[in-house]
Amino acid sequence: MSCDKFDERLQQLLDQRLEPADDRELQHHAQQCADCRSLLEAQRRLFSAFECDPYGRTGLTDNFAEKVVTAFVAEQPPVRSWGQKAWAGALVAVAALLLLALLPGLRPITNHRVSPAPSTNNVVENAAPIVPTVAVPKYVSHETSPASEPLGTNAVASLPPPGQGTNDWIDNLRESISEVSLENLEPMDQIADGFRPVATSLQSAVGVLRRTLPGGGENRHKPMPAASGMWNNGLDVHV
Amino acid sequence: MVDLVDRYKGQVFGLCLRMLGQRQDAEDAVQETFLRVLKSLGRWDASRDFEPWLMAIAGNRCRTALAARRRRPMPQTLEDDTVPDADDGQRSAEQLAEEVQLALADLRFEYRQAFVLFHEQEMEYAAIAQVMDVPVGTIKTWVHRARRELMERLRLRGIHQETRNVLRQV
Repeated sequence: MSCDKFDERLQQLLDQRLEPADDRELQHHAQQCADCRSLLEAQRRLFSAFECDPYGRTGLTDNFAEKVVTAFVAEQPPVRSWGQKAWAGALVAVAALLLLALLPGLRPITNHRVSPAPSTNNVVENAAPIVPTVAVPKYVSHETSPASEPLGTNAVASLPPPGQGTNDWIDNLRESISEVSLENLEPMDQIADGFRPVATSLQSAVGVLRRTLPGGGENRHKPMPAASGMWNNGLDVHV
Repeated sequence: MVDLVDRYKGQVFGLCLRMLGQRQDAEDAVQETFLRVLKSLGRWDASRDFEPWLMAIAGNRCRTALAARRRRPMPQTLEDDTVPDADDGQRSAEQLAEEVQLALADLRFEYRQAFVLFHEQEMEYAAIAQVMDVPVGTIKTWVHRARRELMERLRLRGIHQETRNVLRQV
């Protein structure tokens, strides 16, 4: 066996995870060739070194896995709880309903002024031309000229008829808005980027509504206009 | 998750220790490996073996750690003067292991990783090819070269001298 064959055979045995020292041909050549003998001995020492464990390889701390998992959990972004998600969802739903129900009422303001059909209940001719809320014209126009107000009729459908718990409905609505505080509920930076414009719009809309609804925001401590018969038509206004 | 880490931590630590040669660096690499694995577990292709994927991540962590080490001054952990003369015949197993570790550190990164995965982790060539993302033939070549370089290094440094003396006496 030549030295090249010796090397080839040695690699072959190691590839098969066999012990070269057990191979007769290799041993025979190694006895005759000092270089190959030293190489074989180096191989033996090399692999015996792997059986030694000077670094305490198995000495990872017992709680190593717990430490890793703790570090992993700490790196995770905060996950909103189910309650938080439900709360945010309810808020968005309420805000959307408010927009659907009340925004169309902005347009009949013009109607109120151009069609002053006299109403036995709520018209005071010299009343100041103040439109206290965006919701008021709906009831006025509904009572006085329902046919002339096609706008917003769908939105008003969910409202109770005038004189039948309207204030309660508004009060509940206001309270629900008071309870649903966008500013306190969900910091904007916790809302996904794609929803931020929508959330901002809703937040603004709800803010406007809170300020303009009777008894809400700026109007909360203001006395109701005495001349506004619409608020005194037998309804108790608790604001 | 704890079970997953417990199951594979020894294997990953073995590779990292051989690749980095320092216990603290190896522990850090193991932790980074498992953090990376846990984060990426959702993207793991379940049709492929988990172990090669894990060891590939560990290898990459080791490569990153070595690159970081090169950028900062490191104290020499093992010096030649700690190795006694080859003729004294008193070399302990620990010293031999340290010598082998030094020899490993001098190998090309790919040779070292292939060698450790084959001989210490006892992975098959095909699995190592998956880990290192190269053909099986390349892995074989790297392992053969790693062996030759290591054996030659040990022979030149006289690690085998003691045995040679014994054989002569016989």
